[in-house]
Amino acid sequence: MNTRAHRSRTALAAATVTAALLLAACGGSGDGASGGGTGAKGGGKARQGGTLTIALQSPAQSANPRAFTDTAAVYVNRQIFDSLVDQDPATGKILPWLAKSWEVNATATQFTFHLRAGVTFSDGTPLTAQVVKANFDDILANKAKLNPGIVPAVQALTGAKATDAQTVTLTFAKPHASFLVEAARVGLSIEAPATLALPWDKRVDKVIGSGPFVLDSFAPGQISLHKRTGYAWAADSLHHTGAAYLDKVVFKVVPESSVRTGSLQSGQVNAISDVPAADIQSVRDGGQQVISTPNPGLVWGLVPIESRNPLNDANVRKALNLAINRPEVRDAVLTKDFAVATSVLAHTTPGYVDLGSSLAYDPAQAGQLLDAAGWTRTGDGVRQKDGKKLTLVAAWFRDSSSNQKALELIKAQLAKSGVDLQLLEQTGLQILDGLKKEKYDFFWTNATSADGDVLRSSFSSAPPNYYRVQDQPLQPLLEQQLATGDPAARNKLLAQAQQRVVAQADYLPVFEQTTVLAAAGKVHGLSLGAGAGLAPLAGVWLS
Amino acid sequence: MTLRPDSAPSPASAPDAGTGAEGRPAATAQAATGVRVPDLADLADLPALPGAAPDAGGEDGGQARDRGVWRRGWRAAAGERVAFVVRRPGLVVAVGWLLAVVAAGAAPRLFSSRDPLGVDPAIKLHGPSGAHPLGTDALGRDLYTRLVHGTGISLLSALTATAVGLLAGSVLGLLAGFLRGAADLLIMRIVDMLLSIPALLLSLALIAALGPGTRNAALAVGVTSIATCARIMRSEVLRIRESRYVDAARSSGARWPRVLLRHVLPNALGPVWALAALEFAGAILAVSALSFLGYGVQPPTPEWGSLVSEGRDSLRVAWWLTTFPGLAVAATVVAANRLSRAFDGERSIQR
Repeated sequence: MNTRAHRSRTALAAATVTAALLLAACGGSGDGASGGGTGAKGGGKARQGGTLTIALQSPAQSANPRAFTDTAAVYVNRQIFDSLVDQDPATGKILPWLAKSWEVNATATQFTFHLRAGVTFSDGTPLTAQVVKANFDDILANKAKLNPGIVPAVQALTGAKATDAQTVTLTFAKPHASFLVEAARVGLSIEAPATLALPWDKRVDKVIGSGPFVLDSFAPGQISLHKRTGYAWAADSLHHTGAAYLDKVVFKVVPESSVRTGSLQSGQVNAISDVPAADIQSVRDGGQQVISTPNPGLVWGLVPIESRNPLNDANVRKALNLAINRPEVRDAVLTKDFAVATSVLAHTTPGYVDLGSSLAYDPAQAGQLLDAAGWTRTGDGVRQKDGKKLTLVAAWFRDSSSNQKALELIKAQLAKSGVDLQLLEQTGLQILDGLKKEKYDFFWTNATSADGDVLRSSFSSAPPNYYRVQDQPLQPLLEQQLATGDPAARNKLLAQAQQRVVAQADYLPVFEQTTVLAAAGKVHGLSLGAGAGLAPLAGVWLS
Repeated sequence: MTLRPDSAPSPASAPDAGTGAEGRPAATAQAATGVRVPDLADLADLPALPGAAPDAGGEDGGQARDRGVWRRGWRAAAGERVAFVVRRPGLVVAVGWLLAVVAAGAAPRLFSSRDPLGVDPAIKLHGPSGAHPLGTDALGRDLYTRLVHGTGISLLSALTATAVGLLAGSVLGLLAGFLRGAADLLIMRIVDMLLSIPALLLSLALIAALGPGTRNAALAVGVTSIATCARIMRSEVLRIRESRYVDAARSSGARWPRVLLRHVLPNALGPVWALAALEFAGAILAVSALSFLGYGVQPPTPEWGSLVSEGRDSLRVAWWLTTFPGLAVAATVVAANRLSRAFDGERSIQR
C-alpha cells in the first residue's frame, strides 16, 4: 500500500486507489541488468526481430505516465518514455539519461539539467530545454489530475526555466533532496510537445515519447508497441546501445495468477508478471526463468495506529514487535526470493541501515514487557488488563496473494504471546475512511519507493498523519534529511530515523516486498529497474 | 360448486341433506368432476381437518393408497417403507450426508479434536495421509478439521438465507394471491423486478451496500430467493382459494383471515417445502460463492467457500486444498436437490 496515496486529500476513485496501492512498481526508472536479469550476455549473439508477449495481472489504465503508477502502467509506459536521469538498480546511483549531466545546489532547492544532444521523439520533434520546461509547466498546471503517488515529488516545485537550448533549471520552494530519484521514475518522464498539446483526458492512447518503443494500439486488455528505429540514447545502466532487438512487444492481461503461470508454461506468452510465491518453485522446476528484485522502500509490516489504546504505550508495541517470528513467516508463506525485514526500509533502499538484531524473535521478553504493562494472562488465554482483553484489529487489503497467509501466521504467532489479533479485510476506499476515523489498531502495508524519503511520507507527524505518530525526536530527523543535499550526511539522518522508528516500534516490519517476473527460456536480457518496475526492453531478444 | 351457499348443515342432518330431494348425491358430483370433495360431514368439522383437505389435483388415488397402507397395518406398512427406502439408495445417501453435515455443523469437536486455526509451518502443504486425511494447507493446518469447523458457518448462512427467502417470499405470495387486484399487481411487479436481476449479481450488489460478513452474506443470498418463493406461493394460493372447501369454509361462516391461515396456507405449503430444499441447495452454493469472493467470514475462520479460495493459489502444487472443500459443497448441493425431489417428486410418482 502506498502511504502517499493515503496522504493525498483528493477524493480518490476506487480505481485510482487500487492503482496507488499497487505502486509497488512505481518508480521503475528502471533499466540496467540488475542481479535479477535474464542472462543478457551469456546467451550468445543477440538476434534481431520477434514479438515479446508479456501477461500482466491487471490492465494498464492509461498510457499517460502521470495518470496511473500501478504495475501495468509503469511496465508499459517505461517502454514509451525516457526520463531525465536513470537510477542504477544495483547501486541506487543516479546516472545520465536524457540529461548528460546535472547540478544540485547546496540546499537542494535548484536542479540544473544539461540535456543530451540529438534526442528526438518518435514524431521527429527534437528534445530541447523548452520541451522539458513545457513538461514541468504542464505538470504544475495539471497538479490536481496527477496520480497521488507523483504529487509529493512536485509539491514544492515552483517552476522550470530554460536557460539555453540544452539547459533547464527546476526550482523548489523547499529543499527537496529526493528529486533526482523521483525524476528517474516513469511518472516524471518527458513527453513530446504533441502529447502536451492534447487535453489531459485525451492522453490515454495517443502518447508520444522518445523511448525505444512506440505505442501501436492501446486497449485495457491488450497493448501493443513497435520498435522505434533510430533509437540511440538508451540509459547507461541498460548496457545496450542503439535500437531495440524486438520488433514488437504485446502486453496482455491474465488476472488469475495460476492461469498466468499456466500461460507461460504452455508457451502462450513469453513472460508473466506477479508470479505468486506458491508458483515460484514450480516455474523454476519447469525450466523457466524467475527474475526477481527486492522492492526498495517501506517493507511489508503492521503500522500501529498510535492514538489507539493500548498501542499508545510504546512498551506494548515493542512487545508485539518481539512476538513476531519473521523468518518463520518468510519460510512458510514466501520463498527465499523474499528477504526478512532487517529495518523499516528494504535493504535496496538508498540510506538503508541493518537493524536486524533489534528485530529478533523473543517471545519471553515480549511476555515480560506485556506483564509489566499490566496485560497479564492465565494459562494459554488472551491477556487481560482491567477486565479488557488484548484484542487488536488489523485492517488489510487483498493486493497480494501472500498478504492473507502472512497475516494468518502472524495472528497465530501473536496468539502464543496472548495477543488476539483480529484480521479485517477492507477495500481501498474503506481503508482510507477507516484510517481517517481511527477504526483499526493496525494497518498492514508496504510502500515501494526508490528513496528513503518514504520514511517521512509514512511516519511524519505533520498532517494528515494517518498513523497518529507522536514521536517528538523523530520528526526533525525526517524534516532534515529532505533538506540535506550531501548523500552521506543525508544517509546518516535516514539511518537515525530508521533506528528511532524501530526502537519505538512505530512500525512492525515483517518482510521485504519482492517483484517476481517469470520468462520463458528463450527470452534474454529481461530485467527489473531500480524501482522494481520492468526495465526498458531495448536490450531484450528472443533466441 | 354444487353446494347450496346457504346450507350450513348440522353434523346430524348433513348426510340427509346430501341425498336430499334435489336428487343429486354428493358422490355423483364427485364422480362427475373427478375431484374428491369432502363429505358434508367432513365439512362440518373442517377446522380439525386442514391436513386431510386434499389438493384439487386429482389425487384421490394417492390418498386412497395412503390410507390403504395404514389399513394393512403396521407390519405391512413397515415392509412397504423398507422397500421404499431400498428402491432409493440415492435418497438414503443424500439424507445420510445431510445428517452428517448437520451434525458436523452442530458439534464439530465430535468429528475432529484438532484446532482449525492451529498452524504448523513444518508440515505445510502435505498431501492426504493417515495423520491428515485431507492433507494440510499452506500454513500446515489440517484441512479436514478446517472443513468440519467451516460446516457450521456455511450451513447456518445457507439456512438463514433459505429462511429469509421462504418467509418473505411466502408472505408476499400469500398476500398477492389472496388480496389480488392492485396489491397483487404491485407485489408481483416488484417480484418481476427481483427476478430480472441475476441472483448472484443482486447478492453482490446487496453485500456491497451492507458490507461483508456471514450475516450479510446470508441476507444477500436470501433476498434473491424471495421472488421464486413468492411466485410459487401466489400460484398455490390462487389455486386453493378457488377450491370448494375454501368456499365451504367461507360459507360456513369462517372469516377470511381464519380461512387464509387454517385452510389456504397449510395446503399451499407443500410445493413451497419442496422449493425450500431446492433453495437451500442454491443457497449453499451462493453463500460459498460469496465467501469464495471474500465477502463471508474474516480469515482465518474457515468456511467452505473461503477454503476453496485459499487453496486457489496453490492449485498447481496442492490439489487437495480446492478439491475437498469443493466436493463438500457439491455433495451438499446434490444431496439437497435429491431431498427436494423426494419432497416433490415422490409424490408425483404416486400420482
